[in-house]
Amino acid sequence: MFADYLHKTTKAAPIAVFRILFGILMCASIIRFWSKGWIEQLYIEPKFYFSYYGFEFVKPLGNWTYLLFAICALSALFVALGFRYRISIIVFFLSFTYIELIDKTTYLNHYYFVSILSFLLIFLPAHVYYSIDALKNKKLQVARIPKWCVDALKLVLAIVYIYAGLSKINSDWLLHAQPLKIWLRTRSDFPVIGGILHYSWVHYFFSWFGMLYDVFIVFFLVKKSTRVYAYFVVIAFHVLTRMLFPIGMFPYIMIACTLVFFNAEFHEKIIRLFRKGIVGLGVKKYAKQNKNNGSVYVQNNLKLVQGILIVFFAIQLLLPWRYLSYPGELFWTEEGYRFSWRVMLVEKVGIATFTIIDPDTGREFEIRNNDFLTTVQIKQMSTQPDFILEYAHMLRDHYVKEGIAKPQVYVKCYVTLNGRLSKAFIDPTINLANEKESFAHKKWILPFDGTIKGI
Amino acid sequence: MVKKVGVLIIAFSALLVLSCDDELKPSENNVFDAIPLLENIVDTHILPEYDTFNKDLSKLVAAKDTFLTNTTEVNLVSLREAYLQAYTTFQAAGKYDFGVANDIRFYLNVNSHPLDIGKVENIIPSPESINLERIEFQASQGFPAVDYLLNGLGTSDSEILAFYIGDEGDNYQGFLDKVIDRIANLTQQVVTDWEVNFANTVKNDAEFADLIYNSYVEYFEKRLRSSKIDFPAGKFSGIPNSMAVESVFKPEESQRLLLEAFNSARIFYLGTENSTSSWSKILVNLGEEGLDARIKLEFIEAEIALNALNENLAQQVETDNTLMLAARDALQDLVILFKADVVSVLEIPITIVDNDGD
Repeated sequence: MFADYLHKTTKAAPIAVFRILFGILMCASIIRFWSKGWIEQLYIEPKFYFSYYGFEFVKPLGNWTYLLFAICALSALFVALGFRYRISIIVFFLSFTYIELIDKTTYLNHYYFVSILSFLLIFLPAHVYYSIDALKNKKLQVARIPKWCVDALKLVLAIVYIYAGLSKINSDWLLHAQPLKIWLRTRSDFPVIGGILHYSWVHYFFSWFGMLYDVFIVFFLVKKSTRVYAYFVVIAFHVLTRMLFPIGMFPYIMIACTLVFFNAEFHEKIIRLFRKGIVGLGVKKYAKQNKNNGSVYVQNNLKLVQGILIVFFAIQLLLPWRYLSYPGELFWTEEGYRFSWRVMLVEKVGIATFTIIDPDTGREFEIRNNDFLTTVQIKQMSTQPDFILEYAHMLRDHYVKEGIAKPQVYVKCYVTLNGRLSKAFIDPTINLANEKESFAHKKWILPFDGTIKGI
Repeated sequence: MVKKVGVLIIAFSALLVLSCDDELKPSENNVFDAIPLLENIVDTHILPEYDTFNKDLSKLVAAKDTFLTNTTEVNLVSLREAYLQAYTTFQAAGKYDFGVANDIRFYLNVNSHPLDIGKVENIIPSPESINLERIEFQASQGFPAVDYLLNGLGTSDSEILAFYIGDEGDNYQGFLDKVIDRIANLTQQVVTDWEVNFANTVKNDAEFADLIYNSYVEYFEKRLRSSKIDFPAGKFSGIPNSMAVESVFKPEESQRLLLEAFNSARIFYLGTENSTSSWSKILVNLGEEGLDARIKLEFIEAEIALNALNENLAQQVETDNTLMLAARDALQDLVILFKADVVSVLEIPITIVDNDGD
């Protein structure tokens, strides 16, 4: 049955539209990022960068970062145009992912989403239709592509939505409407509905609606009879979240990507619109040529590609569950939190003060975090154990250079989670200079007092 | 399947609406109403505190003028009294480091301690040629310089007076004149701006709540905690430095000034008896009574720790620095609540950093 499915074909228009919108939005995102001065602020100004465990070889590039962003933007544009598509999407994936790996301070689920989507696109024939490549190379022009190529994109979106929804099934989100209560009740300035945003029932309504939306929207998008309505809900949902929260380009990316659920005829209409509006990239000619042409795209190394994608999806499906292998409350320890579509689930603020002790002299002094980190870094560092450890090691190495042979590093860290009173987060008696980073549970995280039930 | 899911959602929503019937009742108070808060902050804290300080400064300027025209020990004593009075009310007025106060570096120019004595000694031979507006002279002026000029030149009044009537008397008088006039001038700039339009601007723009809160917490941490306690106690260096206390040439005033600043910061949080809104009341209205109670408790604990200190903080640092560090920890407990808990429940951006979240 699966073998039969792999032989099913579909028209190429959906994936072409996906490629174009994705490329344009990525290019726009990079330009927006650049114009806001964030390259300088996030990738050049900091003196220290927080690495991902295992990716310490990814180093900041100083002023070359601008070149990296330029390459990234240009490759995104080439992807949109379908110009040297394979090379462009590979360059985009590598440059974008490199940028994200420089400093985990800037981690956002939607950047991870872009990385995995661009990885997937490397293996998909998104350039066989309405592209410069196909215009120049007639061999590329095919009428149909394997159905699984389009379905792979839908599957990524389904994973994102459903996992985001499942992670909302917890007592803080559903029974206490947290953290939405905190975020919404102070937004009385919001247009039209601002006046009701401080009512408790609104917080509960948004929480429940958000969970149900995330879990079920994909099913309504798959089903033809509900698809159009579902898509209006998608637009309304993402526009509303964009207005309420500072989440940048993500809503637009989701609105654009979700179009992939529509059928090929719908996408051909979009391409006709493109053609009228912009340039006829040989579509007319191509359409005539292929009228009676049932040619199907033939993937090189098909078995290898399918193998890679099976592994890819297996990882996507399993990674969010890795938190189950850690003791303690996930929202508190954040062990196994990232790369799992846990979006907007926690309102966490922390304050971490580090003390250095020179055991040889007994000299003891506190660190001013501003001397080493930027404001954004301090904010992220103060609530996440892996940041705290990495920073402690940086401080240790710094004071070894300053002449303290064996500096001890201690931290007093207090964190508030979803409206609870702040409490001690890290064992203040542990010398972090001696602790090692690993995927193992960090025993020096103090236990969480309350309980959060759920997935 | 899909229809079933649809029915399920509708049923679920209905259930939800029914089950939380109580929640449907509007709770009028459950809102962070910034405008009344800002009106209270401006009218019951900022304007009266600046006004009191400014009046004391006028008296200081007058006492200074009297001393300069009639340089006697009696006038030195009354000048010193006027100085201490102004320094005392400054502890409240110095809290508001935004607007013009921030532009002209009001706090730092008026109260950077420890004083750069070396630079002051270099200035004194030719005070008229020095432009105190230059940032390099930030730590060579303000109240710490007045402290030096009135208390630090000798051990007795007659010794101190000798500097003003001796060979270099004109220079000492010139510098004293310049330093006090500059404090008055800086203050006047701030007060005038508040009176002309800033008060109305602030009272009508809810955005100022975030700015004022950030400014308050920064004051609490950097000035009240760090300048007055951390630096003398050597918190960031491991090396205590009793010369860094406020009013170092009359150190028996240092704890009193610290308490003055602390109490003013506490009243700013709680509100005065005339306040109809305050940060404390905002938290209670939002249903965060627990947090409010904890803050009030930590204020009491901090008060106890500060009262346990010697009236002479320099002496405290030298004899038993652990009490200084304990007082510091007590203030730090408040900083934690201000920077973590309050910021979290009020959704205040801790500094205005523009960035995406998810």
